[in-house]
Amino acid sequence: MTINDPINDGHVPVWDMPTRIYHWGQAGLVTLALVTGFLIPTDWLNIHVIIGTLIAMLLVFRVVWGFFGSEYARFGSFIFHPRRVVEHLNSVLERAPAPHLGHNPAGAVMVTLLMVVVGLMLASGYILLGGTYKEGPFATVFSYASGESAGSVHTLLAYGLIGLVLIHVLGVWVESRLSGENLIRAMVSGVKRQTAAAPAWPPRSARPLTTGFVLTGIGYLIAVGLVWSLRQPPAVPRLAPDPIYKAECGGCHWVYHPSLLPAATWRRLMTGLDDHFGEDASLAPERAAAITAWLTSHGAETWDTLPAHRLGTLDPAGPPRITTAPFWKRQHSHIPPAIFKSIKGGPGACDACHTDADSGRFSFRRIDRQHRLLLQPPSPKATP
Amino acid sequence: MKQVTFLALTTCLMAFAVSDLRAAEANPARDAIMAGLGAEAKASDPAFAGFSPQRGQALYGAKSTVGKPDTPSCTTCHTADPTQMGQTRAGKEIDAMAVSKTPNRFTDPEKVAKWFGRNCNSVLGRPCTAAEKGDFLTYLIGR
Repeated sequence: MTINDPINDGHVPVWDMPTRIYHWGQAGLVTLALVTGFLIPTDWLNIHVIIGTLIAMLLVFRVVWGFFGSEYARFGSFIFHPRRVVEHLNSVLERAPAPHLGHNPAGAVMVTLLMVVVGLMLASGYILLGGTYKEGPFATVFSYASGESAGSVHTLLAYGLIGLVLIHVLGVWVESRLSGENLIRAMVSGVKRQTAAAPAWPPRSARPLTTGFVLTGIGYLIAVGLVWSLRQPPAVPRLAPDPIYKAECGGCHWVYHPSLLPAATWRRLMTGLDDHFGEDASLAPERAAAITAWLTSHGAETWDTLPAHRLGTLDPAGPPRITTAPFWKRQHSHIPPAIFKSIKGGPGACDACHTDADSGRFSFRRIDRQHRLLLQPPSPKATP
Repeated sequence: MKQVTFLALTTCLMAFAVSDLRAAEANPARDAIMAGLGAEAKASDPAFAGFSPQRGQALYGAKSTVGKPDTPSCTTCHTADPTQMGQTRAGKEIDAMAVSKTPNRFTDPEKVAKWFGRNCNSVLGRPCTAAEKGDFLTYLIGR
């Protein structure tokens, strides 16, 4: 059976199974990606990253299938002259669009735009993940600034994508109404009414074996890239804490990473040790001087991480308390106070939940939810 | 070669055993700290007649309204029972204050000076007198 053989009642197969799986998979995953991207707090963003990775896999497959799939899946079957696109839109306005078995010219522009925008969102998303969060395959490649720029592009494209999806659905609805054929059902069953002439060229059939070879090749290249990225030095250079800093400050609280405060704030903090967050933490002058020197030479200015860039918004006149930084508050605003109460040391004990806190990275992928979500009774020792 | 290793191990073990026995008994470094405090107390008050574990216990459990509000008492961090582990306000564990539980307590003069300096100011809002320090340590050495 070739692709345009009528199936008894005048219907012909148009959308092959892989194209349909791609279409609905993409529709579902893009919806999930938009919902998670806009609505969930940053610390749950790993779900969004996983969804994005699944979309990337689907899109890579679809691009290959665009060359080796069956007739109407091939990019070659829906390249139209811009004039044809205008003609088609005019015919829609006249309520008499010419029938098309595959994509009509306007639909072709839409699916191309959707694929390009999704592709650009994947690219900007991975740059954002690498540059800003120091995670993923590009963690060592992009700077924080690049990550933030990519983040702005990612957001703008997301709004654009919502617009495109709405126009796409509207277009399908209008075409279905005007042609009398339910195009949504056609994308489920894969068959369409034989209303248009078959293309002038003999319909091409799918080449699954070639597709398999090409996908294996691409998979190999991606695997090589991943191995390369895993062999890179850590995206956030490891810095062992100064021994005096660790001994003196770590005796009472978590050894705060020096990237969490700018040098000037560290200096201010170290000059006020006689009233250190409600306690006298005075040190011998030479030890205090050694700690100040180490902290100020490794302050936020010398790091390219998210906390180093964002916690610097701490009010320079207020107490140098990291948990009062607007960025800190925003990131933790949805966490119930009971969870902080259950943590020994409260919200200032960053390492209670952030398993990569000692590196200064604070990735949303390294949060110990077991600890956070299993409420522990307050320690009986903490009697007032 | 094996014999040398065995000998070295045995010597090490014996050394540990001896140091352990010493820790359980009077510790010369701690005795020196106590002697220093005694001399200081005597110098500031000729009527000084020795340290009292009862006064030390009272000081340990006293509530102060003068010092920093977050630390009204020694028990804020060290708990009411000095044989228990304490916890700093920032969540780090503190070894029990009682020498019976933490044998190397009060054997490093610098450490003793540092923490009396910090914590008397935090809790009482003033430095402690030598008599207070001596009472305090006497109480905890006896626990």
